[in-house]
Amino acid sequence: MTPHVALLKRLAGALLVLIGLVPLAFGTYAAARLGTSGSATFVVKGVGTSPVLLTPDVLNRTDLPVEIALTPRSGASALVVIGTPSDTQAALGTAGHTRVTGVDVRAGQATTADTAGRTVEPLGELTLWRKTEQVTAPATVTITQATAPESVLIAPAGAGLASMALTWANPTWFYQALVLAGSGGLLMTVGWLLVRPAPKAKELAR
Amino acid sequence: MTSMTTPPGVTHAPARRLTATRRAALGLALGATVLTSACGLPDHVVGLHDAPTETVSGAPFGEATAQEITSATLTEADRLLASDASEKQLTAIMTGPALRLAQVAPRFRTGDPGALQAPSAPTILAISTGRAWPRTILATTQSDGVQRVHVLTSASPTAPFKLWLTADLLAGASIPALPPLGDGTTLVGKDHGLVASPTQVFTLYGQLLNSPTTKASSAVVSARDAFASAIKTSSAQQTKALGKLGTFKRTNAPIAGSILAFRLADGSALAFAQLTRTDTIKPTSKAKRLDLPKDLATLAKRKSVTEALRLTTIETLIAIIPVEKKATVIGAAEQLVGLNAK
Repeated sequence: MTPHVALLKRLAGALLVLIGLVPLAFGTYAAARLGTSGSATFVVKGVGTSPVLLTPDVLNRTDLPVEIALTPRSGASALVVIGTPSDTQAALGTAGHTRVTGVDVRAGQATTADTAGRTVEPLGELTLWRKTEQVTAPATVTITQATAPESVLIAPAGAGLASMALTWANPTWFYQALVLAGSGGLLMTVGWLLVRPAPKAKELAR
Repeated sequence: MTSMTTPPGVTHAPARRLTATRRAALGLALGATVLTSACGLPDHVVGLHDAPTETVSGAPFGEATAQEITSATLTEADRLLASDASEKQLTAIMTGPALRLAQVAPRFRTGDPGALQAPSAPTILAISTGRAWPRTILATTQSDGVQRVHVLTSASPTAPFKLWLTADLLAGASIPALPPLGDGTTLVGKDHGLVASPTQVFTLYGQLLNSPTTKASSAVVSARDAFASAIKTSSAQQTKALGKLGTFKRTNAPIAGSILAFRLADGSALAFAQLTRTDTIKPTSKAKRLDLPKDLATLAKRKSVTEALRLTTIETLIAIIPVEKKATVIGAAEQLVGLNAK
């Protein structure tokens, strides 16, 4: 082997070590974060007394059900209504609200946008909703994809919400993360093998 | 030759095996890299896709929902009409022509009008199409052999459905086919495509029933139905009974904002309207006064009039308005709502 080829091999090996480091680190982090159930939870920060709107852009972007975990403050409640996107938006009108716009995977948080406006009209008596649920204690509302597209409007009453989180769960994600980490580990191993000096030819036997 | 230059006892076999292993590992690593890159795109791995688009055509809700809304509304309307309901209670459940009739003074109500809802659950005939407001539901019920048609409307997203109109079908009449429920039904607007607009039809129909008549016939609406015949007969009888002692005048005119029409499957329209009928009786110079019949005397709280008797009646009508031929009235009901005697 010429010195040039050996050098190239070592460079390629170093490159593979570096390339493998990324999927190994991300896969390991993702597997640890998701757990064996493959649950990805995103906290909606800043919830309180303002209505929270979840649109199909968040709820219906996967084929998985979405779990909305709500915890009202002591003595408070929240009305959860589920309807078509256009009806929900029409019922909300120009009322002030917080819209969940997406999720920040690294931060583990949902991204939101606030809109100022008047107080939302009473929603409970309207005939627009496919489903309504009054929440007075920590509860989870599950949105399936069978009736997509849909929007969810959460109208807190009294002291409002203490916390809110969105969860998507898919066990496959955990195994995908493991495969990613394994791929990274494999790349690093191969890279190390290339970087490692080749064994010298054995001397002539006695 | 290599074999000739290689010293005896020296072998490269281990180095060749290592190279083969490295090559295999390198290939595997590259394969894994490609594989990881191909399916490692986050969106693809997570299963992200665009949110499905909402279908905004067709009925905004299903038959079950419409039936639930209609049943609840009619039940509540029945309860209020059977009780001494307040104005606030009535306006919470009724609007338009239905509210107008519900607000009629109790002294003008005669007999039991019968329940709107009982005994059978309402059958939904049509739901307005699209996602805009106002939204309407057309339903029917059968009670004591009379088929009643109900129109419910919701004015805005935050306004509940209210009963807008109830009218009875004339004996033997039927409603032509409406579009499939899921497709929704459009309401007839300015671009009506009919023999005449609903407003024109009901205005002309009213003119045909006027007395003395100002219009013998119309090219767009027929007045040969049972209701029109009864009205024309009563006009003739009243005129004949008064003779030269008094004059009788009857006018019929649509009430503004009380006309609504659903497009039928064949392009024609099922139209609803309320008309005000005003009957005016005046004694002539040959009669000092006109004695009132007992029922009117009770309502007027006087036995005779010297200047005029004016009766105001609300007529609730259902008509089929075709694309070309004459419109026909298939449903009608009337209610005395006011009396003025001098």
